[in-house]
Amino acid sequence: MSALLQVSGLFAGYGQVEVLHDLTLEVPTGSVVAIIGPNGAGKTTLLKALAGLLPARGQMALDGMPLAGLSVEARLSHGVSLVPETRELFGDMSVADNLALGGFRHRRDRAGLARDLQAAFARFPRLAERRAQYASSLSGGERQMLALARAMMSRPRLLLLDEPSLGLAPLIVRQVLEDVAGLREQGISVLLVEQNARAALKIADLAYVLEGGRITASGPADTVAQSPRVMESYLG
Amino acid sequence: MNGMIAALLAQDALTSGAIYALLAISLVMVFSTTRILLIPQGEIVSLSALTLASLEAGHVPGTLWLLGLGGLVVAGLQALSGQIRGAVLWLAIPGAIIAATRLLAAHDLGAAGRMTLTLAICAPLSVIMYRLAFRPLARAPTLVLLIVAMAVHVLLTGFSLMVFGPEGFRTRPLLPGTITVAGMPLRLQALVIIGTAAVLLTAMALYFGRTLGGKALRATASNATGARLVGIRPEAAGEVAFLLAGLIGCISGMLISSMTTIYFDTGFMIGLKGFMAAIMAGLGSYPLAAAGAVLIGGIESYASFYASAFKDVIVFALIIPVLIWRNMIDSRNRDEEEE
Repeated sequence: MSALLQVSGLFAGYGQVEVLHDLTLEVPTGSVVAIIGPNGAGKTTLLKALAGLLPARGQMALDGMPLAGLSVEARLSHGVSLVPETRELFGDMSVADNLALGGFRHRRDRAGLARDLQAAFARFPRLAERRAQYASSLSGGERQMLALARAMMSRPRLLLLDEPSLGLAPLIVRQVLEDVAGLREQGISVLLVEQNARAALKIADLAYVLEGGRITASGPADTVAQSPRVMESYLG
Repeated sequence: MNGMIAALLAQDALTSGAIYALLAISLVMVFSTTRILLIPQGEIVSLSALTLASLEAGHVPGTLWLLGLGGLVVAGLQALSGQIRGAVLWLAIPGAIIAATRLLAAHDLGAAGRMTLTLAICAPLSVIMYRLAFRPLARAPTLVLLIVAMAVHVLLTGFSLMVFGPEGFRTRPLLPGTITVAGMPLRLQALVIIGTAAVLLTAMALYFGRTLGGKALRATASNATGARLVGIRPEAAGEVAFLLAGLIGCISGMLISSMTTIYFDTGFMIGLKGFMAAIMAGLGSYPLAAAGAVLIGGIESYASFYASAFKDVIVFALIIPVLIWRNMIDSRNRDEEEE
């Protein structure tokens, strides 16, 4: 398996505060890679740096193409799409409008956009039911679905998912993570940051443990899940 | 006051209300997408009115200097950042507009020709203003943007005085004369203004409600980070907002230039009233801004009948209760959000 995303020697942070120190990781094409770790380990910082929302130093390449220095919008046009923990939906716009805007970069391909919108509604029937509702009126789970579906509308090659299960009921967590696992079949690679380590390791192919801004363990997800230290710290 | 006078005042109220509404919605649009309080919008109004008056008199309007110099600087900046295609466009388009104006100014172009030319000269000024004064500061605090907006306003007023002088100008109405409806005289130009404003407001509503481009502007206003995440560049959104504001400002200027004498600094007063309407809407809601504008037009019109010397005092004194009312609504909304 070749690597879709290759990161090496990555440093990133907020202003003077460096959060990530010399990070190296890979996302193989068509795989789900989980990043687990405690609060404040730098998981969200990593995703923001990869998406271009935060300045970073070091090598980042998508399919061999360097990403460093590119804007959020430019990275998106190369297929890197972030679903942030804060979702960043358009609260005072309808579900259908949120989705349509997700496909903004394909705006000249009207027929394709309409097809993508139908596909999104087919995949998330709940969103179809609520298509005319304001995004701000949705429940937590529905918002998460909408954020995921909106990111899918950009036809990403690499989806960066930050805490998709945050604040969701256990039943919905399973549903959301099944949706994420389903992305693999569509050829989309996923970098998944998740507090719920057990659930994340279940669907992931590879896993990295991020602690204090450094990677402390990595490997196939089931191996990582078996390691005594991870079991003790994160799977309790 | 008898019924006839009341009706005439209502006609005035709607006419100025229509213009204020156009300005108010452009201010709301620009503020919500870029956080810039577009004080110089009033100058776009007066510059286009004066340009039209100048063309009517068969002169070459001085606004061409602004277009030419501005275009040149934008082209230079584009060339410096390696965007050769953009640089060429920014040389070619203003160049073509200037050449056409110089060729045609001495001829009688008819009202439609003069208006088209005025629009071509003045609407790009708004985009030039964005490119030169605001885009480099896109991430600056709102207060800095406000001060820059003030500076641009002063600069444009000064420029206007320099090229058009201190005298006032007035243009010929598109439709002169009056018609009598149910015993009441209606100025045809007032109908032109109200009708044009209605068409423009409807077009804006359709643009924001139905097209992906319009929704992208709303998305930037709603959540700037979210907009970037779906690939909407904030600079592109800002540029579209300024272009639309420029078009609306120009059309407003051309419409009122036959109703009232326009001086180099008239735009500020008109812009300020549009700004009050925008404030009434909390700089966020288009329908509220339009309604506020009609209300201001009404107050102004009736105030000018009862106490014409105090007309502006009365209108601007109103800003205080309006701000108190807004503050009450906004703090209630904040409380609800926190719950």
